[in-house]
Amino acid sequence: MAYISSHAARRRFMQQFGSLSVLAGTPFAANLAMIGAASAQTANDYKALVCVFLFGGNDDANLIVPSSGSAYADYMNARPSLAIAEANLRAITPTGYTGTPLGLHPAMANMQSMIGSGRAAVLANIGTLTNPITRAQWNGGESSVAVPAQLFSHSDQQGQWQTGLPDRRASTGWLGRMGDVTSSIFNPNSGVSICMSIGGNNMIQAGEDTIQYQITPQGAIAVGALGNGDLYGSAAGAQALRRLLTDPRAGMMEREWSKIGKRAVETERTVSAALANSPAVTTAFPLTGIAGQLQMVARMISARSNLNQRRQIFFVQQGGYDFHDNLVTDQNARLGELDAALAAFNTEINRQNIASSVTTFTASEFGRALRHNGRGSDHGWGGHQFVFGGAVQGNRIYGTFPPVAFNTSQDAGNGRLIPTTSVDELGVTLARWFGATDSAALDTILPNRLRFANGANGMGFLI
Amino acid sequence: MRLSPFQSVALSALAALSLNVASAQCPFSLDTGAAAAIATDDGLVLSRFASGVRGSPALNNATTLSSTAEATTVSRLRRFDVDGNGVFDQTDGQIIQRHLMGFRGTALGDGGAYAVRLTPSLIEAYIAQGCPGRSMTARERASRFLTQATWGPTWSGIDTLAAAGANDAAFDAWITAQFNTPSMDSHWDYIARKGPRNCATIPEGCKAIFINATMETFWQQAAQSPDQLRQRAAFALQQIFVVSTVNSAIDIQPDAHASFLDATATNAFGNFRTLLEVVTRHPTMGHYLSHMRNEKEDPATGRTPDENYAREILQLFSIGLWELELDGTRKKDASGRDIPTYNQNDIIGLAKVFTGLSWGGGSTSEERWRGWLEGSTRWDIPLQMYPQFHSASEKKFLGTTVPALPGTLTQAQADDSLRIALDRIFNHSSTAPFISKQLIKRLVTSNPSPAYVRRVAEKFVNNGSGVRGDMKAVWRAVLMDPEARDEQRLADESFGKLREPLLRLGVWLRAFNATPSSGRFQIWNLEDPIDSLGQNPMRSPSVFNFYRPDYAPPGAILNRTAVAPEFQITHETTTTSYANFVVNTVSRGLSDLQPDYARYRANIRNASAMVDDLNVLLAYGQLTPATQKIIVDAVNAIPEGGFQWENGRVYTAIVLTMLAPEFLIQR
Repeated sequence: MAYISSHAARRRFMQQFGSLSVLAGTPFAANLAMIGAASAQTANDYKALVCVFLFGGNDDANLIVPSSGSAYADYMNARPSLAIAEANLRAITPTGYTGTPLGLHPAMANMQSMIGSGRAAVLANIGTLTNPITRAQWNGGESSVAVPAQLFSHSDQQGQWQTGLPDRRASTGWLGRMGDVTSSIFNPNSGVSICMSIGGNNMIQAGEDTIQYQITPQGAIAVGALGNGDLYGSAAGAQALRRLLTDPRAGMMEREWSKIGKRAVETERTVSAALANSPAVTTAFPLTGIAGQLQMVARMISARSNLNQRRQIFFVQQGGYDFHDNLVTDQNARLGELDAALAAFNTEINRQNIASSVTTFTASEFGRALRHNGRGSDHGWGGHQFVFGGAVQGNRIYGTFPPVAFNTSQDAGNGRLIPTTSVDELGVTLARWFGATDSAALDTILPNRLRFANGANGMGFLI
Repeated sequence: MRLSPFQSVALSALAALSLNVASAQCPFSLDTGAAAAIATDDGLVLSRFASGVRGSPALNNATTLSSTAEATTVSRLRRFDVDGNGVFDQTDGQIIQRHLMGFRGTALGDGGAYAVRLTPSLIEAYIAQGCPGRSMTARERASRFLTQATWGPTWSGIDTLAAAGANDAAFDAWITAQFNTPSMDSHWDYIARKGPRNCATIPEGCKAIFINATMETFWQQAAQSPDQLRQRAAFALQQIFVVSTVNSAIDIQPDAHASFLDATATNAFGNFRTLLEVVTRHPTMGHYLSHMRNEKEDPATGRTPDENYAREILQLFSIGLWELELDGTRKKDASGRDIPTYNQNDIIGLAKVFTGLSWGGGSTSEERWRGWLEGSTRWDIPLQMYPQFHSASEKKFLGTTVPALPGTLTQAQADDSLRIALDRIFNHSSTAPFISKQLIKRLVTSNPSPAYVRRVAEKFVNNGSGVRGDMKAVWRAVLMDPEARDEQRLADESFGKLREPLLRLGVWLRAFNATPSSGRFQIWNLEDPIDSLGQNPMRSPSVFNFYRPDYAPPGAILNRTAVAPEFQITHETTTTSYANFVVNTVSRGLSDLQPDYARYRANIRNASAMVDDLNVLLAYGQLTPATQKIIVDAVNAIPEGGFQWENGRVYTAIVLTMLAPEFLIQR
């Protein structure tokens, strides 16, 4: 709780003295950033993070599968109605990995080659944790080691993955806090938030000061009447419309509404102009929702100079991963879309010659039970994710690939995986690469990080 | 003696007469006695209320005040809006506090955004008059009630209620009448006919096909069906018992969704226990949450029952995640921690109950179970139990056990498992507050007081005649509660809710009697991010609805632990696209729907009369004078005689009203 109280103390301090001191108007984040991102002061570089959130809880056991021998037999026996035929798995041979051979889901041909070429890596059995926990502790019940509240609930686990604070009520997310710490250093002159979402409102990009900016796959959308400067032929009408949409108002919800309206109108001009004056994205993207979002990310990356942004944080999403039923068909379709979209994005980033500055990772609220329910699988806990980009030390597995069977050391029941890597460790790795290297900054971004083995220095997948 | 605000005004007026005091007194004193208001107590509490602090924290260190101070404050909110911007907000609270400290003149401070009384002298004059406040007209009260209870007010609805006094008795009678008003059509019949009742008489009238047909019947009933309370109630229920065509096994079946819409409408005024069973046994829900054809466990293959429905019926449809008090606040254990309502073992146990359900309508053969029989696909009848697929093992959940059933199961035994489970869920102590609070949020306000939730939940528990789950009693309690009806709440800075995009469209359709030349409401797609609503009926992204009931936008609202669910789909993109949608729709209509603006054209040379009229109809009189002036000036800026000037004036007035924050935030 130290984090919350120190936040509160700082806020109180600023409220008390803000109007008297030079701190007046200084955003909280700027102060935080001053604490210790000295290493970043000299940087004259560019970096972007892209979070691809898979809503519904991707099924991990069919995403990466032990592909031979008794391990495959265990997998097959655990979910005979769902198991992918051995011959259809897409083999990967990660460097340094000595466990049973592994294959990717057949729909992930492009991911297979990105892993093979060292561009992508696997994060094995990662999930929400308040503390490291063993199976014995899990079986020992609640009193043994605290676990995240409301495990196996979509909404709660989405929230906890995104806040990075599964042990408390939280009002910010870890990419938002990363934005708090970095935006004033790297993007001091940008009129656009460091956190940009093409996937709708989310928690992960909410900061103390950082407010996520929403953009459509087609770009920033203008209020037509304001763009033309006339409402039904009247300039006065357009001016009135602008006032009603953007003037500050009294009332809790009116205030919120008007703030959004103001951001929408003011930011649109900046973004549209920046996009119009930036090199076009020429790679052909598939006509799917996720590909359209990633295409927009590529356009915003291309517009980074015109946006005055040396750091960018993006959120995109794909829904439909709640495979209680029809798993075999539906997961194949979802992953196929994802794989094609990520491949197009990778091609475009390479074409822009910026691959080593862009790191993309997948996330999903939970993995799923290994046990089948007939035509699908039920909510689980830990799952596997991908990370890719030119800075990724790829063709590796980070974390511990779990045994795929029942009653193993990682089984929380019916093959729901007890995570061996926490979201905190992923976050620390990304934050350090992104320029938040100071321990105070890292503590702000992932306050629980030091509870986990790689919480101090990260998992080492970024170079 | 505690005085009502009216009594104290009367007394003050009397005092002014007898003592020859220059003015009446503003009732800033919040205590029960006759003590004068003091800045460090009454002023402090008022200031806190104006910043959204409620309950016991608002009284901290206010030593002379008792817990009635909040109710007293609420009873005077419109009078305390000293700068006249419609809301008793922080600016008013500070001004009052300064006034009580003896500050006068410029030291009092200026009025806030969109204030009528911008200067300290105007505010001082208002205080000197005893803070007269504002009160609603009968038509405004009627319009406000209909905004909460229907898809949108119409002039005939407003005038009828106003003529009856637009008071509690009138509203209560209206509710009773609505309970007995049938729908104009059934969704099912619309799909079968491929159009409205009279479609055969209209060219292109009977050509509604695919899922678009369900969209048409949805909008036709929302806009035109006389059973408006049922329509609004059913929509609220559809946002709890969510089915969707998105990422769904039922993405293209118009009859599946029509039948589900009918089921929610038919049972909206029934019993919640019935509703729970109708939803559980509905083939559309069975497909969406995959409990249809869910099979019992099979040790041979290691298969376990699908847990999907077991989890979501608890988390979303009935008891929620946390044990609740009757007032909707979370129960605490001995260590002060929240108490989960269930754990994974409950889900595993309950999942066995929801096995063995498939198509209803006849034999329980495996062919029918699989849907292979001719005519077995029946969206219009409840799922039935196929005992051979129903789990016979012991089922433990929520402290209840359905014992193992030896021998060959019968359908009656399987039905009994389901009955026991639904009874347990229905009777759980969290169900009444969980459902009641959500219904309040859908109709009235996002942040009801615990007392309001408790009053509604009490009606859920017992309708007054010993019946639990009587939805008529619940809807009546939601709408007739003092917190819903009290016009002082119009000035409560955190009261109310954001109108969701679909309801904004509903208001336009009804207010201007938009009618389609084809006879069909061909509103098929409202999702275009550039110029549409970003919300579409039956198109929720998941069973978690378009927005969660506990969503709060990060920042000011989340930080004060309030919620604003509809803000989950409100951001730069949807705000912009809504503005474009309104500008386009008001002027061009929607599809072949054309509105009737004749009433407003009649005032084409009198902009203030036009805006006054729209203010009552669309915003129950809540447009502040400053907003009204912006709109009137914009209308008058269109010169008489110019190209399309009459249209321009009417469109401008309507568009700007529908973009005003006073319209968008329903109080």
